[in-house]
Amino acid sequence: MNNTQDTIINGIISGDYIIIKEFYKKHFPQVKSYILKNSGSEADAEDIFQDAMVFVYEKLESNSLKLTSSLGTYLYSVCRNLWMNKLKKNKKMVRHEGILSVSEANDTDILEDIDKTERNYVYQKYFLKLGIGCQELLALFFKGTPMRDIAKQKGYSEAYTRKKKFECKNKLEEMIHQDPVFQELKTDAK
Amino acid sequence: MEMTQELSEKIEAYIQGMLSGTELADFENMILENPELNKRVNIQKELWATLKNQKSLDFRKKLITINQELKNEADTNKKSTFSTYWKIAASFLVLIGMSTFLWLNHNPEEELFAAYYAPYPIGDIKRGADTATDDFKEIVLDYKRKEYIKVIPALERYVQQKPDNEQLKLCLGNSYLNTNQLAKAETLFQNFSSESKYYSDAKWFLSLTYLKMKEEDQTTLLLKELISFDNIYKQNAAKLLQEIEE
Repeated sequence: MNNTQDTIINGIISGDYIIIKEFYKKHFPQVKSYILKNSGSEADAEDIFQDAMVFVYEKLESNSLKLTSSLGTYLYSVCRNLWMNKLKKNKKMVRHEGILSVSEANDTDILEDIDKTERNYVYQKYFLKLGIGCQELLALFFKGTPMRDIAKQKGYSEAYTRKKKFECKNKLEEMIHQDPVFQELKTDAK
Repeated sequence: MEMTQELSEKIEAYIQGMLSGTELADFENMILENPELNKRVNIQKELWATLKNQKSLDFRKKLITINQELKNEADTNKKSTFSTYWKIAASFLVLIGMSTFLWLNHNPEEELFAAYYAPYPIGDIKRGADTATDDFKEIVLDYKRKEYIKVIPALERYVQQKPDNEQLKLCLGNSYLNTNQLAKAETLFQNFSSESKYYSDAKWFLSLTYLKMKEEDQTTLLLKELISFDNIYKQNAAKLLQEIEE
């Protein structure tokens, strides 16, 4: 691994905004071009690219990524596999126009991992679409903070906090159920 | 199957391993007999496992912001390319008839607005639990950078959540004013009560909204009101009224 790649990897793990932005700026256009040429939209490209970045981040963060190519090439492999999975579920043909420079060696491992994580990405995406109040309350709840402490922190009564948490969680679940991607993934769920 | 608060909390207790004895056995039977409930339990388990990973969520949040920033930068570049061509064309126009062009574009209201308007300072907003978040810090930065289009949806959300925070309303009104959403700015500034601490701020920005709308009578009326009592806008209101009447 060279120094530049080390810097990028460390930057991604530590959440360095400038490094992540540069990496995004460098690699997103190629992924976008590939997805647009293969039945996708710009919004699809953004979703796939961000899912792939989170996938890479989680692997780097847990130190479970063994790179056999550059990080950019690995990211392209993740994007390609995520997009192929999505197209297969939509029963659309993959034409592979505008081939991404990927390493085939990456694909087997990536495919196994992707199936486990796709639903999680839907949860994350919709969680971030909730209002700030709901996000904060649910983040505390999922972190395991006791309801009485959340109530105290928010200045609510415990009963109101529980009600609010239920409403926020319900809203999140409703949004998730309405998502067409989740509907497709649901059929594969064990 | 309708999800009630009681059922939702029971699922949570089950996932957290807080059910025991007959209560646990009964609930496990319910899950076995009801595939819909089984699905709901599984989704809640997955939600829990995913959303407790705050680091991963923060990373995704960063990606969404970066994506928006890159789009904005691309838009600005397009506008600037367009503007370069426009400038070349405009210089020919200037050569053809500069005086006619300037005369046609003379807009005294806009000139007065530019001379007297200064954005409501968002930095004055009192820090509280709801304004100490990273999201709010981002709003402050965007507002200071005058990225009003970007900041409006977030401010609207905050104002809806905190309807008593009048300084947020002033910032939202200013953002409308700067994006020519004048009717929205007007409604917002009009709704400040005369008892409010920020009454004079709202009146001042309302007068500038009317100035932009070329509603001279309304502007004059408000400026006269601002001159009639002690407030930080009194002097500027008097100067602006004088210029309008001249």
